Amino acid sequence: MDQLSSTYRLCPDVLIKRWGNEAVVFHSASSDLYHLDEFSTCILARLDKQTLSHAQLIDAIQSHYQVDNLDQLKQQLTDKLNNFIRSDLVEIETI
Amino acid sequence: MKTISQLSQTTIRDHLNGSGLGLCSGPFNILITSSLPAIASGIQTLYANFPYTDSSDFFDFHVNIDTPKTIRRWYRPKVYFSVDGKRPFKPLPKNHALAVLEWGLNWCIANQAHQYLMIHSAVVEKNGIACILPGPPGSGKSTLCAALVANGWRLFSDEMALIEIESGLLVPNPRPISLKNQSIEIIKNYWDGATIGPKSYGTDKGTVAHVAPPVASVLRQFDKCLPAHVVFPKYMAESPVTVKPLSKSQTLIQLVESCFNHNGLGKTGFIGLSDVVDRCGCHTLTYSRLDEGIHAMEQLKAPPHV
Repeated sequence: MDQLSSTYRLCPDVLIKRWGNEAVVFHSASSDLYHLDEFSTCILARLDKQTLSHAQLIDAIQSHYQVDNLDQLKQQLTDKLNNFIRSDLVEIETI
Repeated sequence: MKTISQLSQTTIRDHLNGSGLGLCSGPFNILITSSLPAIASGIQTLYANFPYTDSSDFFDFHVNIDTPKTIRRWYRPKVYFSVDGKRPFKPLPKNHALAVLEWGLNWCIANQAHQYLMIHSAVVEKNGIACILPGPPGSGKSTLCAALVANGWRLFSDEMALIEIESGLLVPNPRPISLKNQSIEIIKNYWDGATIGPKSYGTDKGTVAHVAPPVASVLRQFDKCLPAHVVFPKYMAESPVTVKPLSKSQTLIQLVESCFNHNGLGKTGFIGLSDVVDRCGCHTLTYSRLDEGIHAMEQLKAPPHV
């Protein structure tokens, strides 16, 4: 997967309900329910508003958390996105 | 509206044995037929304050509870519950007949009333503050519910919250409160004047008895109300009473797990439950003494929308 040329969006079957830093996600096609931690909430809340590229997500999350170690953040984000894709919560669009 | 209490037991038996006894229970009209004297006396005891309707009315459920016309009628007699001509359960001992009727009616609602969000919980209301009390068996939900009702809270339901999907309003369905094992004596001693039906011994749940809802709750069985709090009660022996806030997300997760028809309603169900959580205060309540639990419930303030 070429992350630089990809954009990510929330799957249409997904509903996200957010309170502050935590959220619950419902996947209506499978009826699966997810209780999100703060980092996951931060990612999906942004994808709930718009389709974003990997770089755009990195920028948004870096500014939110004021992270110094960018490489670590990129890796964490990639891992999370892969989990979300496997769970059908997030779709990938290759340009 | 005429109530069951105005009918003699002979008349009740005649209706049950004939075209049926029409019972108006909250939003549901139920037509009951049975040849069992225990059902006639049980209805007279537990549903005395309920309106009855003519058997030619529209009914949501046509239920029958009877012994089979076989040798089982005499040898270890059992009863069948049937709804609209179908038998959803295996037969159970005849001396559990009244409990079987109650469980059967719960089953009918949980399986068919999908116009509502249905949460496995007790629901009570006082001074316009309605509280949803979800809890698994053994949490003390029904005992606390009965004690609250004994203290002037209005019974919406001991078994399930019915929530209108469009409006978010709680719909009362104040049927008898189901008590199990030690709770029966606890409520008998606690609630002076409680009408408690006969005990069913040796059921899957142990000894079971039902408490008739107070007349005030039945008279207001059409008065809906928005929920104000979701409280997860837990009886814990020797524990001091504690009320703790529960996060909205945790509350939603637990409500989804307690919701009978969340999967069937899909997105609509999730949005409906999210709305409940949005508008309610969310708490856990741990208690060992009923009076302390009730006092804690009385301290809950109305959220802004109420």
